[in-house]
Amino acid sequence: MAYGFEAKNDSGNVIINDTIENLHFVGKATRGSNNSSYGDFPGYGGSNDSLDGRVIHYYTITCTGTPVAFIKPTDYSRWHGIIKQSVSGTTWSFDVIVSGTSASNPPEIYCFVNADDVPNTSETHGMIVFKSDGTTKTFDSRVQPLAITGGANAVAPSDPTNSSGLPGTSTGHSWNYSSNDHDFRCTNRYNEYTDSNINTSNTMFSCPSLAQAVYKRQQHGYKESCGFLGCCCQDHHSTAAWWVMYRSAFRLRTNKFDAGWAVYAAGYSFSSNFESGGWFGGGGGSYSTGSMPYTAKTINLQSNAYIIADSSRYD
Amino acid sequence: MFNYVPSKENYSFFSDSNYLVESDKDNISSLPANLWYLIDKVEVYVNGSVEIIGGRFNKPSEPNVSKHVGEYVDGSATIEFREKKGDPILQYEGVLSNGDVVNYESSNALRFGYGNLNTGTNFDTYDKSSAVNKWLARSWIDGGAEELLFLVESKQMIDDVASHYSLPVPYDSNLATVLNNDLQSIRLRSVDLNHAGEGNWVAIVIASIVFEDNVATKFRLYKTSRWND
Repeated sequence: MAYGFEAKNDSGNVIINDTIENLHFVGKATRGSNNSSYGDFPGYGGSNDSLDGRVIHYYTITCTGTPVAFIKPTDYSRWHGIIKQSVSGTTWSFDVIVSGTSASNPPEIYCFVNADDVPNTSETHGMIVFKSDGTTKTFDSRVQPLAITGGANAVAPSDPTNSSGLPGTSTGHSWNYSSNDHDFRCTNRYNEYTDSNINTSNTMFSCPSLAQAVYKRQQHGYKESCGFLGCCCQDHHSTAAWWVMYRSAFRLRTNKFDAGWAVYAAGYSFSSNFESGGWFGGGGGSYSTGSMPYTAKTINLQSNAYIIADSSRYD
Repeated sequence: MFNYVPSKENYSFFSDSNYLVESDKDNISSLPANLWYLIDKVEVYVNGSVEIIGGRFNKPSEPNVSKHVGEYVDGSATIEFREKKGDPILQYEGVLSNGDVVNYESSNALRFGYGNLNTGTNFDTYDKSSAVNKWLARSWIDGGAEELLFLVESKQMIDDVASHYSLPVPYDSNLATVLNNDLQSIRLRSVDLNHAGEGNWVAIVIASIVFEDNVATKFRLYKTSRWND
């Protein structure tokens, strides 16, 4: 760069120049519908029925360029994560998962794009830095550049459930045994990262929700019944299974960034076969609230960079 | 034992001369291929008399295949059950010889008892006797009669239910003795209905109230017998 403008921070890192495209505030995404569920296992009424619940809020924003979204919680006690980001034309959509079943207090989504993608402003004073082509902006002080106040790497614990370990499969139960003995809630499972810049008033964060986990508990039961002289002995099998799919989610506390999990989907299936049906004897019964999305495992579990910022700069 | 079921000679009851004997155990392949042997005998009592007789039949060579067949003793109809998916527990329907189909729906109480399922209802919109603790299922014929089936826990319960609906009790004097002294012997099966663990399963004895145009018209008691009863 023979000519131009360059700004560095106290560590000597370049903050602004003609090649680094700074992010600028383009607006808050508009919240549409929401989907709330999984306060417990659908269709199940026995022990360890409770789950943490989740609400998925759907947001959209129209802008050119690819927005980087920050979540500004309204209820800082809840876990948040952006589980899907997609685009149609210039309209971007965000699916934001929030723990709990109440759709009240939804988070706000602050969106940032490259300086050149921010709509023109009528402001007449400020500083603009262009690329060497002289037309593409890398920085524009008139349109609220993103000021990052902190950040680090964070990863959720590999085991998302309050009961430790993989729940697994057990056999040897009595016929129709179906009592869940694994606590699938996830609120106690997280890694915390200290960051003195985090408060529960204005702090917002951006961190991808990439990790997914599926945990399943399965119980097999059995009995045998026979007729005259041991004739026509029939096997009676039963299977009960509980499964939960989790997405990584995050929580802000004073001076803490927590990486943990939120329930995304869950199901309970029960099947029991007896004598083939009739006379109120029961058929080869089965019941399921849905198929498991994957086999039991945790995937994409890796340390992710998160950044935080002060949302009040953009209100 | 059957008088009206088609191919009635293909069904062998406990008391029939062609029923299984000790030596058959070692000669299963020599048993007649067309013969179905009674495993559970079901008699439906109304007002002290048998209304329907039938049961579960098996072949020793195919123990996991059953037929459930019966007939009204007055010859008005026969019934055979066939698989029907949909309900989580009661996955069958009864086909009457006149073409009517008896549909079944398990209750919330039965689903919870079987598999901790919390779906279904307990048919609260019906006129239900408060003497009953567990309503187990509903059956119905489209455009016809409905039947609410419940768990019998004592003879007194049956008497109280009969009083509630102003219907005659279904049992005769012999069954009255059984109900008083050995209720579990006429169970359809045993199920861990209260989730109390092995050794504490509930003997499922069934009775029902038949409704026609929302009026209780019939009180049925299902008696199940086994070869050694």
